[in-house]
Amino acid sequence: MIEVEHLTKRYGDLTALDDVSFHVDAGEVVGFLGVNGAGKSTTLRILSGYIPATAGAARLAGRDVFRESLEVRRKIGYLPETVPLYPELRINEYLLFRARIKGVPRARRSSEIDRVTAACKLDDRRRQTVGTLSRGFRQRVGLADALLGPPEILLLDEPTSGLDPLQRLEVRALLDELKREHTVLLSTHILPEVEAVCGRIVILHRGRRVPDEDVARLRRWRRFELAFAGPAQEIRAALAQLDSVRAVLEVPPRPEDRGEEPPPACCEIDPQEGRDPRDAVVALFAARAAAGWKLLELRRRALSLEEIFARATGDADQAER
Amino acid sequence: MRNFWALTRRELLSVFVSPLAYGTAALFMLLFGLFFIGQFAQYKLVQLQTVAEPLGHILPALAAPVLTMRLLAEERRLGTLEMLMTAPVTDFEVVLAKFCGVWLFYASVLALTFLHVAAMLWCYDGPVDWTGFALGYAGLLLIAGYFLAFGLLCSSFFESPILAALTAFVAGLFILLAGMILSRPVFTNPGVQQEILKFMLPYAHYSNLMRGVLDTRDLAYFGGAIGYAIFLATKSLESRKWR
Repeated sequence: MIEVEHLTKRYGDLTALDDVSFHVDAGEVVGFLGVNGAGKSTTLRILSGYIPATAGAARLAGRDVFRESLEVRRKIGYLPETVPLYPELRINEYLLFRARIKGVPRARRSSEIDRVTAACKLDDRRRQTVGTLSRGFRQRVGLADALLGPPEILLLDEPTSGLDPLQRLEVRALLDELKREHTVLLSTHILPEVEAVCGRIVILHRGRRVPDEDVARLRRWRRFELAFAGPAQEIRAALAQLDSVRAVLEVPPRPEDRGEEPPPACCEIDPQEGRDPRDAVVALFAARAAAGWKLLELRRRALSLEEIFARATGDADQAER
Repeated sequence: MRNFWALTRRELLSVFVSPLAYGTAALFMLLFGLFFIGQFAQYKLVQLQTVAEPLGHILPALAAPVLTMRLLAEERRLGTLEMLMTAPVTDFEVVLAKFCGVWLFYASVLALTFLHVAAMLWCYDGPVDWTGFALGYAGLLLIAGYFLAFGLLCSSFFESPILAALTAFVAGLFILLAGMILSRPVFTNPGVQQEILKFMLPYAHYSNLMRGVLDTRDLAYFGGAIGYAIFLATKSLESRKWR
């Protein structure tokens, strides 16, 4: 549904996108991940036909975004990052205008507006002037606008930015429903969001795409959390000596240990790739039980997306802190 | 075409909720009324020309920058241009709709002056030159279209409405004064340069229409100038694609 091939965008000397390729199949929800300035918005602007690429091609629903821009624009619902709206219009006036220029047939316009305002929980605000809306409501109006049509493809640039946690959950639930009917490409730097909604992620860093293999490898990566009692320095040193251990990481005191006397020591084990150090750890503590080494907890966990992200983008220290 | 109407309606909606537009309209009516009474008392003439000619020329030159400054500059500044241009509408439709929206607004303000004309006709029972009136109003509309199209063009260059208004204002003032100076009696035997300049400026064409003279050259001049400004504004809007 979305095919991007060797897309490059330069603004003067600045290369915002460098040879980025990816594709999104029909019905898929793909998360577009990257820190601010990674090139997410630039990509979405190119896909929506707002600006052209310097090199490379992009096709939406089989049509070139630059040469067949109007056809492409008929098929997309685009929500820009800043959600620009006309402040002087009321919500229903704005949506009616958008429905008209998006070519929603006259007979369906009012039912379409009912549908999108209900989906975005705007029903009771329809007569409010856009300029007086809070950030969260503006975001919803933008989203309602993107849903008008309904379009085959949704391009959403940070749809939950500026929302409070509750609204964020609502938008996530909405996106969950949308994925049944639309192909969605959504950009964000809020990682739990992608985890919750997207089937697949594409990571951009400094205008380049981080290869899928790296992302997949890091998603299979596990970490092991330990809590123990005994001579902490000595134990950590011994853990680091184990074959299957790549590094022993310090972790900050955990909230659940507050008030424990004495507080248990904690650390995290980053294993060698594909290895599981749990048996070795248990054996080690068993061997030194007489010296007061006591394993309290041992838990395996997946990398959080923050950690995947930080590692994949080469910022390894950030992940290991 | 459906897009064009939708866009024009949006422009009209925005202009009719803007206090700036009402301020401009009020000022227009105030000045028109003052001129009208002054002229009426002095000359007792039943001619649109005497009442409206200087005003019809000066007012749009002053009002157009204010009416048009936000049209494209504000869309750029707020980022709404991105929303607009990612909908299935062409750049030309957008520019044309913006022009027509503001021109229709001006026309509706101008329509209020029918009240003055009606009052004038009520006091007067001689023959009336209806063609003269029609051409006079056509002149008022066309000269306004000229300055509005120019203001729209200026608005397409900038992200700041103030800069757009200033540019349109300074250039408009120049066009206005140059046209008036060239029409002074000093230039009754003009050289070729003056003739060319006079033809390029709107005043002579406008003044023909106000005198009730129908000359296709004048209509072609306004059509060409307005069309050219709209064309350039479209190109300026499209320039985001190749800059």
